[in-house]
Parts: sequence; C-alpha cells; structure tokens
Amino acid sequence: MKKLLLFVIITLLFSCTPKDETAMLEQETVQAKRAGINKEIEKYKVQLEKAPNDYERAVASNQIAQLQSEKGNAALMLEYAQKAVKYQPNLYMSRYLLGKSYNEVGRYDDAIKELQESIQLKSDFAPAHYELGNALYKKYKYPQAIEEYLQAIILNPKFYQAMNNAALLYAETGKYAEAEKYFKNAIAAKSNFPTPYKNLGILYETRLKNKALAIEYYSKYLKVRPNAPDKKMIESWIKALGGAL
Amino acid sequence: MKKILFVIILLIAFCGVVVSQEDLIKLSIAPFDDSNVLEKIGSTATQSLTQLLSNKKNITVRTPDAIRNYTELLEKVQLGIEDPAVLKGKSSTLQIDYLIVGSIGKIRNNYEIDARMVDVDTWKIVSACGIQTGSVNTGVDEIASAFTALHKNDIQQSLDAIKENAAVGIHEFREHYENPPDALYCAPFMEMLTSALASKTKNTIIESKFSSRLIEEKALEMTGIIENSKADAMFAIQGIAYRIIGDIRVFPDMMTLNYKIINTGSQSVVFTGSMDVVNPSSLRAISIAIAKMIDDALNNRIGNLTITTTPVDADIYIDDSFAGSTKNKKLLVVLQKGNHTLTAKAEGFKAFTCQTNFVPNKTTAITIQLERITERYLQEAMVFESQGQYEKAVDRYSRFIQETGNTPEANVALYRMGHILLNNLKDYTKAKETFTTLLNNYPEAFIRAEGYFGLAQTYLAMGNKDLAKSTIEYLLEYYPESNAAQEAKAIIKTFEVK
Repeated sequence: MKKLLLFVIITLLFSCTPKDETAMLEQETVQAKRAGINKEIEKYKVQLEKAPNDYERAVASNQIAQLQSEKGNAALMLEYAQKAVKYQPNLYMSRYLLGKSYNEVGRYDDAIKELQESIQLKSDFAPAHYELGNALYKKYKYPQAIEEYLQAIILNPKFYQAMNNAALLYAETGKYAEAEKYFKNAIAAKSNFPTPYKNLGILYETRLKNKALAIEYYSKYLKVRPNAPDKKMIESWIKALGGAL
Repeated sequence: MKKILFVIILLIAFCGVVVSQEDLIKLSIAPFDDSNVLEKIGSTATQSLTQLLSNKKNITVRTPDAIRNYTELLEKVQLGIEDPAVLKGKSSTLQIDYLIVGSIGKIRNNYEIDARMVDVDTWKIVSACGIQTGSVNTGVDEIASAFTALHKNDIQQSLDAIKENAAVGIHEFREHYENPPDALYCAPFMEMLTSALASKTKNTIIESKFSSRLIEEKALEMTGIIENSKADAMFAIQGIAYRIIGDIRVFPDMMTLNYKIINTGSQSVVFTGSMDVVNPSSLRAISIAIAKMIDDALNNRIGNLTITTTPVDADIYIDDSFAGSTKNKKLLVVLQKGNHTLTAKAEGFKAFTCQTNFVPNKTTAITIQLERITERYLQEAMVFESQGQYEKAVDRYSRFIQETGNTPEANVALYRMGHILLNNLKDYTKAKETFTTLLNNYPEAFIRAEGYFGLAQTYLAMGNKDLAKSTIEYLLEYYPESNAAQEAKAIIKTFEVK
C-alpha cells in the first residue's frame, strides 16, 4: 500500500514539473505558420521556386524581403534582399531593400553604397533618400543626412518620418527654428503620429527653454498615444515642469 | 574567576553575532512597478515580500520606507528629471548590499511577476525570479522562497564566476501596431527577458530598471523612427559590452518579436533574431528561449575578426558573402564560431582565400598581403586563340581564372573561354557552365548582357530553341541598350521565320 502511495506521489510530482518549453515553442511555430503574413511569405516562396527567370526570382525575393521588413525580421529581410540583387542587380527596389536591410543590421557603409545605387537607378524614389538619410545619420554625417531627408520630403511632401528625422538633426546641429518648423510640419502631415509631439516637447524644454510649450506638447503626445510605454516618464516630466495632468 | 568567565562568554557571543551579521544578506525592496496593470497592486506586493523576507534567518531587510529617499532619487534619475550625478556615493549610506526591484504586469488573465536582486554598487543582477501566476499572493510567495534559498556565499561565488564575462544591458523594446492591441507587451517582455537572462544564463546582466536613464540623456529620446547611436557610447562608458534592443510588431493574428545584440564599443549589430508569437501568454516561455539564444550567441558563437590588407580597399567575403571592405584600413567583422572561408579581392591583385577556424569570445586578427596579378596566362591564352590553338587557349584562360578568382579581370577570360568552347571546340556543356559562372559572378549590366547572349547561343547550338528564345527575350527586355542585345535581334528574327 505504501509503495502504491509513493508511486502516486512521484507520478504527481513529475506531472507538476514546468511545461516543456521546447514543445510550447514548437506549438507556437506551427500556429504562427497559420498566420496571415506568413501565408503571404509562403506564397512568394513558391513563386520564387517556380520563377522562370532571374527577373521573376528577383521580384519574388523582393516581396519576401518587404514582408520580412514588415515583420521586423532583419536577418531574413537581408537574406532575401541579397537574393533579389543577385538575380537582378538593376532593379531599384532590390537595391533599396538591400540598403534598408543593411541599415537594419547596422552595416551602414554597405547601406549607403546600395541606397546610392538605388537612387542612381531611380532618383525620384523618396524612401531610398529617407533610408540613405538614416544611414548617413548613423555615420554622424548630419548635413548630408539632412539633405537626403529634405530630398525625400520634396519627392513626397507628406513624408512625416523624414520631417521628424530632419528636425531632430536640425536640433542636434543647433538650428532650433528649423527643427521646430519640421517637427510641426510632421505633425501637420500626420496628426496622429506621436513622435514629433514628444520631440517638440523636448525641444521646447531642453533647447528653447519654453516650459509652457513643452508641457503643451508632452500632453499632446500622451493624448495622441494614450497607451505610450513611456507614459509614466512623460507624466513625470510634465509634473517636474509644473504642469497639471 | 567568575568575572573572567563572564567576559569570555560575552566575547564569544559578540564574535558569534559579528560572524552571523557577515553572513546576512542585507537588502531592501524598491516599490514594484505596476504601471502596466490597471489594479494598483505594486505596493501590496512590495509590503508582502518585505514581510515574508523579514522573517527569514539569513536575510535582514530594511523597510522600503527607510530607503525611500534613495529609491525616489533613483526613480527621478530614471525618468530623466534628475542628473545621474546626484546618485554618486549615496548607496554607501543605505546599509544594504542588495536591492530587490520588480514589476507586475498582466497578460490575458495571468499576472507576470518579475523580481531581481541587484548589487547596489555595481547594478549587476545577482539573482532573479520571474513567475506567471493567476494570483499575486502566490507569485510573491514563490519569489520570497526563491530569494530565501540564497546564501551570501553563493551570491559572492556567482558574482565572482561572472566577473570576467561581458556585461549585457537590455536597452529598449518598441511596440509597433496599426490597431491598439488588448495589452501592451514591450514593458512586461523586457522584464521577463531581464529575469530570464539573469536566472538562466551565466552572463553579467546589468539591471535596466534604474540604469537605462543613467546611460541616456533626455535629449537623446527624440528619435522615434531610428534609434540614436549615441546611446551606445554611453553604454560603453558604463562598461556594458552589449546592449539588447528589439521590437514587438503586433498583427491582427500574430505578433513578431525581433531582437538585436549590439556591441556598444563598435556600435555594430552582432546578432539578430526573430520569433513569431501567436499566444501572448507564452511570452514567458519565449523570453527564456530567447535568453538562451542570446547566451549561446554571446558565449558560443560570436567573436570578432579584424582584417587588414595590403593594399587597402580590398573587398572581403566571408563564406562567399560580401562582408565589407578594408578601405578604412581595418575591417571588423563579427562571426559565428566554426570554420569560415575568407576571401580578399582587390582590383589588379590575385584573390586570396583561406580557411579560418573561428574561436568565440576572442578577437582574431588577420593580415593579408595580396599579390599582384601577372597577366602572363591571359596574354598566352590570347596568343594561342589568335593562332587557332583553342585547347591551349582554354587551358591558359582556365589557369588565369583560377589564379585571379572572381576578380574583375577574370570576366574577360570567362567570356573568351565561353566563346571558344561554343564556337570552336563545340563543347556546349562546358560553354554553358562558363557563361553561367559569368552571370553568377558579375552583376554589372554590360557583362551580364554578354553572358546572356553567349548562353542563348549555347542553348541554340544544343537544340533547345525555347530556352534560347526566352533568354534572348529577357536580354532584349532588360538590357536593350547593350551591343549583345543588338546582335541578339538578328537571332530572334530567325526564330520568327521558322
């Protein structure tokens, strides 16, 4: 009887051990394969396999690279962008995606090279100028980065991300009036884009020493992004400036 | 005599007290962060944990109230409203060695409770515990049990063991979504990952709860689209060798969790990873899996390789992938452990290839002296070709290609060799191989156009008209300006007549 009881206790103990993480992850992977964006990727992988020529292969690789970019998977984005360029080196999109991938994985010199190639192939493609601006920014080449952001804005007057980045580089280089203008332009271009509100707050507080406007823009930031992960921090900034929540 | 005995007893008792005091873990508990849950349960959890740990023999607890000024100051520094310099020297007055910091999050119906014991002088995590539970009380009980099981010696030993390891800090995770999800995942996930890294790996993890603002200024917060690289320099100053950043992208039917390990010294991304998540409740298990991957990447896979070449400005390929150039005198590459094929190429020089067995956690330096290309084989090949000695010409072209590797000079040899094989030696299989090599190795439009034309002629000679036709159509569509395209037009007309 005692032996039986011991056996039951041991069995119970083993059944109470933490869940097998590997099994959980395998289950996750299977479930994830059913998800929409992955279905799209699978579709283009089939297209890539069946593509009759290099051009079609490049197009399918580009599509996969773009979807991986949406998912934020830098390694796979880079892999497919490299494939696309190998299959068809003269497609501006292939070069752009490769440049963007290099930016994602921190290879900024390579990014600059590829994005310049992309711009040579299609000079009016605003996203390439924007990504080139980002790569130059990472290399601390601020004036050149600003030029690329401005070019992106000329080509796409609603390019609010380029406006935000141009503005923050103006702030970094001491051109506060320009910074203020471009942050405001970014807000005008997309009023529910939260970043420039916070940035304007920081600009007013730390550079232009205008407490009232800093409080105003920090508050607007929280209004536009009520679930901001840095909500607590921004609230404390407002409070420290003497503002009411 | 009695007095002497009494003094001896007192001395023994005093020594005992002193010794036992030294063995005690002196700690306090910072208020649990509950900003990610609607219920305000952080202070209750802090009080419960304080009470549970106060009753233990091996631990002495200073109440959160006793160190309130310090934790409030820490919080202000963390929030960017106080200068980090105000903290200097403050920890020595606390009369504690460790601080427990923690948080409570809620995903779906479960509470995610994380607590870490941190050395107050170095901000290194000495012990960590992360729990998914349906009840906060149960979670706090488990955390108390985990910390009670610790002994001062064990803590010191574990600190000594990781002393030489590279310090890692979790910097930030960002959330991306089109439609607001039912819960925010970044903050709880960062907590889970920090706990998992500290408890499941042998790395030195720097607590991020109060340290992230020590290493970043408020002004650097401006970037929303791209992170600011200056943070790396600030991390490096703090002695943090690697920082981890990432994002969680929420789609309607799934989430993708991406992370990068960045070397704070070189500011290079040394590892990237990604994982799809369908059920947010499994984030805890995923954080453990990612912690193990990061651990593996840092300790078993990654090391630095510096390459210098003469001449400078050589292109470096690792395992046939372009890794960068040495134009800035030295190229720093981060590699995974194992055998790698390294190739250096520079215009006018022979390609250099070698195998390296790469040892993780070390910087390996390689200096390469490239040898100038002598064009003897190429010249000989051209003479033989002009004399009609085609086999000898192919032999010399092959030697030249072998010697130069895939440098720009080799494309002429490949092109000429392909034509001899096709038109003179009628070896179509080798001709096809040669033109395909040309296409695979040379992305320049002019060379590719010539390659496609040669390939089309080979297919035609082999009797595969369909393949020849589609190759020429492709050539005409994508390289219409090339001479090869003009020549190819004549062939395509032939097809139409037939």
